[in-house]
Amino acid sequence: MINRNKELEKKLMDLLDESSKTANNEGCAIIVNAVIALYKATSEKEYADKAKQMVDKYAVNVAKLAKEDGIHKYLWGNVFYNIGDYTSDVKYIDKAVELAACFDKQQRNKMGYFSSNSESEEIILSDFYCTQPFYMNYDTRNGGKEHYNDIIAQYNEVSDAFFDSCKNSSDEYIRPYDLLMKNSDKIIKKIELDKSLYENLVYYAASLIDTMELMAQPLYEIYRKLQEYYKAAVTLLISSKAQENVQDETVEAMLSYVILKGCRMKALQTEKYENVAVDLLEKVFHSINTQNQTFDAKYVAAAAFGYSEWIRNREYQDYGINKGGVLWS
Amino acid sequence: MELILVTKTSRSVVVELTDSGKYYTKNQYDIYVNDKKYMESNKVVTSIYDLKPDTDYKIEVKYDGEEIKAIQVHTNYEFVTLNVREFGAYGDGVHDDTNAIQCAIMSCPLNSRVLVPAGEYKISSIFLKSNLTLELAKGAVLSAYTEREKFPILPGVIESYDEKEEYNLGSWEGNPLDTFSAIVCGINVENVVITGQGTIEGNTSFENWWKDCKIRNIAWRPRLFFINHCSNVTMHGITVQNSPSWTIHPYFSEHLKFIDICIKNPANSHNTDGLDPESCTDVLVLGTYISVGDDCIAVKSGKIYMAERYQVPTSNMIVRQCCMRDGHGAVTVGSEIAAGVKDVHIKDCLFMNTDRGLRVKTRRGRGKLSVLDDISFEDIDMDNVMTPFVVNSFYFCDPDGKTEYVSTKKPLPVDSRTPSIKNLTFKNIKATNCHVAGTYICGLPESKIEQLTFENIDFSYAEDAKSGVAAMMLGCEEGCKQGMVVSNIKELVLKNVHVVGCEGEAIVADNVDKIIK
Repeated sequence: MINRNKELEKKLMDLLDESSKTANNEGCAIIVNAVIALYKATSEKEYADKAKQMVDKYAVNVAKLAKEDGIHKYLWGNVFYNIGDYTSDVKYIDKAVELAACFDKQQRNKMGYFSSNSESEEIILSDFYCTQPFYMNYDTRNGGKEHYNDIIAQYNEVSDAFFDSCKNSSDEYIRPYDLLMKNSDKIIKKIELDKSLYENLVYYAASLIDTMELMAQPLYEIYRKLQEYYKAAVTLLISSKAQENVQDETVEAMLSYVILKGCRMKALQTEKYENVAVDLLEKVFHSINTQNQTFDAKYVAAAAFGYSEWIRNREYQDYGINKGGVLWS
Repeated sequence: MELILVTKTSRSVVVELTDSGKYYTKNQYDIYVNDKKYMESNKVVTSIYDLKPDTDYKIEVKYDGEEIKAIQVHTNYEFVTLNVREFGAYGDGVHDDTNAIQCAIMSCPLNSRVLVPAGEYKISSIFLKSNLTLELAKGAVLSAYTEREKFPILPGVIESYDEKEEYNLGSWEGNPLDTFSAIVCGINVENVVITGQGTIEGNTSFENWWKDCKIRNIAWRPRLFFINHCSNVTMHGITVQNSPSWTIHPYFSEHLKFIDICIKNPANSHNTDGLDPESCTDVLVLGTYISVGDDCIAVKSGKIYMAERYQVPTSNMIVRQCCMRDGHGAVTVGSEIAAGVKDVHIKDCLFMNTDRGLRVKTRRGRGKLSVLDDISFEDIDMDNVMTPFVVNSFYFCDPDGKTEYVSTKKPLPVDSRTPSIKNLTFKNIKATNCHVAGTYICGLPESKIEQLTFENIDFSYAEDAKSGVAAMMLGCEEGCKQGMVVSNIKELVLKNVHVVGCEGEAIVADNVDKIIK
């Protein structure tokens, strides 16, 4: 761990607690995920206890949650798994499995990926942030890896469509990254003009790196493809003009999280990428430290996510040597 | 019968007595060196040690009273011997000798040898260098630690600074993943000989590496011997045993010889394949004894990422005069064969007590580069093998191996994920005391095996045949004394095939386009 700032941590925890009181269910789920991220980065049991309290308060009724039409409910899935791991209480794992059962009937849009709008042909990249990391976690832990092909198929569809990707028609190997980036100039122009698209892409990249973290590495070809998609997304996101046009601290904090986590997981080279993220985060931390206002749940959560990666080692692969050999988390 | 020279070093030679049997000679015979009786042997391929460098030797054999024509051998020149004891190794089974042995290896000049004399040398992981002869003398044991913290790690992938290429070091089951470095490890080295009568002892048990072996703990388990991008490597004479995982794993390497070695792991140990060449070219396995807990020899070429990216099949491989006993398969092709396997020939071997003789393991998803072609088994004796020939195109031992996509027996569209099998030939094979089935061959319905030839084959069954599952695939029920079960084949050639004592039909063929008798 590097640069831990306990004062900032306390402020983030206070803000998360405060925001949770007024947040909707989606906001609460994001907040609890952020508290868990802080716990994982610091090993402070106090944070895990807080996350457990929040889960018990806000998401106790999974049956009710399951009936909700949207896809935001899946944000609770990994919360259940994490609290289950922390408490060793199987009821939380059961909740995760119960919630995952909704995937079988979850609406998909015309492109075949999970969506709350089956008629939509619009690519809503951020939908993936709600569904795929939990879908992958469930499938790895309890789903028998039956759905890995579905997960990568959803990512393939959306990445190809969004990036207007070229197919490799030769027998020679061409990196998926290079195929995606062939039309990158066009895409960069698009996202420079559309702040919402940029934000979507940030959450899409977050979904990729979070999904990678939860998958079984022996299915390396899938892991690697996700990594290439992730890297393509990050390349677009940090292209200077697009980034300059955004000027949104929530998005910037989330982008920092995305980049720093990629550095930690060796999906990006730390020496080449971390500075972009660290600069953005320092701006966010400055705002949090200096402004006495109420921030919205998404902003505080993004800042906490960013902080949780900011303090973690990303200089070298640490192999989880001090964490019982667990690889990434 | 003829005596031929197989290979030599400055201190040893290996000879082969042709037409004298399969692995074992029919009778014991005497070997004379410079007209003096030197040793007795009952093996077709035999090593002669304790010779002097740069010296002429006459080697002859008396077999059943008959003098076989002698051969003249001049041993190799040797500059110096680097005795690891002089580099500070204790060999007392207590002191960590890794550094001392590594120091001797790194100091070894051209045309010289590093000698490990008798003694127990505790090591974690030692690395080979180019132009090296490492000799383990009789009674020398490189005895590995089993604490994972003592082992370095080979990262799976390190990205180049320009982010366009990558450097792959570690490999686990066909993927570029972080693994502990092997007990003896070579990276990008050439012209290496590991020779002698000594042992590399992995010391693995169910208390260490084999415990929770399916779970990555820090990194994946080490091999006993791993060479990556190496050339001209010979392993000769030594015994390797109790390996943490695959015992000998040559990876993206070429011009390899494994001669008169002994590979031993307990029959119940996990994933302790004997010899697994992966994406290698020009491999000779000769006079080798293998008894392990998984496949004796498993020919591989990686899973789909490595196959698509590097496209290196395993090819030009010969296995001769070997004895495989115990283990799931005597010679296996698969399951990580996404870059294909071609030109592999197994000849004059003994298979005893293995679950299967030939075992092909593939599945949908291995990809279009996964082409198996020109694989032959000739002059093989099998005894007490549960099922002599198994070709399984629905192999389920993968994280996603039991999915509908892998297991369905209905034809699926042929696409970039579909593997194929072209030409398999079996000739002059005698399989006695079979148990489960003579053959159990399943191609894919959408990509049938193109040609399968059985010629001069005799199957007979054990009186007390045990039932079992012929192939690790969904839908393969436990059976006993089945004949030849074959499906999804374009052309099946059956010439002079005898199935004696099976229960039910001798040949059960399904979806076979053409049978030639």
